[in-house]
Amino acid sequence: MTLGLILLGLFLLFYAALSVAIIVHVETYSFSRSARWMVGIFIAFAILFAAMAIIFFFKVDWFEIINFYTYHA
Amino acid sequence: MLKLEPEEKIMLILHHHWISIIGPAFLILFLFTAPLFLLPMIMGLGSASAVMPLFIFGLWIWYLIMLVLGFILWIDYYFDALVVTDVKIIKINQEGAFKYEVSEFKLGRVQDITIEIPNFIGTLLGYGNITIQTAGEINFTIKEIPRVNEVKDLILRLSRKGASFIQ
Repeated sequence: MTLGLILLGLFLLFYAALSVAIIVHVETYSFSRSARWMVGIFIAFAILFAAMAIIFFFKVDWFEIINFYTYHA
Repeated sequence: MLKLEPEEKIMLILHHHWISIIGPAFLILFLFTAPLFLLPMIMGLGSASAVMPLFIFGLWIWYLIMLVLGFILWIDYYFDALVVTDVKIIKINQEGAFKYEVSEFKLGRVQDITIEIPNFIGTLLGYGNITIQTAGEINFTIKEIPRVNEVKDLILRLSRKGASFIQ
């Protein structure tokens, strides 16, 4: 689970870095208000999806899954 | 932001026709819903109660990836544009999320404009390709833009004004 948590953290860090870079690009070169709306929608959904991923990460019974696949693989 | 001269006015911002984005948009939509087709298989597993939260966790990670891909697709569509001001034409070429090229030329340098309707769908939905030739023998081709005839007329009208202003 600790390894999974580290991997999830790394993934979310990379995702956040990529998102920030993309948003900065959009903010720098945008030429209409629709860009602001799209950035807002993207940020809202990204936060929602990331939060759901974190919540469900902790809902997974990792020991049961690891045990099940260790003995049934 | 676009750098314009103090008195310069934007006359037209032209993006590609929505038909150019519909294929990739459907692909992203399909990929977005694709994991749900695995749901009956997961439900049939003996250890479904343990695997289900893992599946839902994977689903949200997948949605995060699809979200950023969808956003990059929109950026590619939105920034790939032609901006016509009362002074110049600005062609913006966006590739992927970050590659961004801007070329511009004065309206007075426009020599010739060619429009092309590529196929019957173009006729049906009213889009086409436009090629602008400038005095410097530079050609700009912008594909799949809507209202191609109106755009041509507007650029020609503005370029005549621009040319008379230069003379």
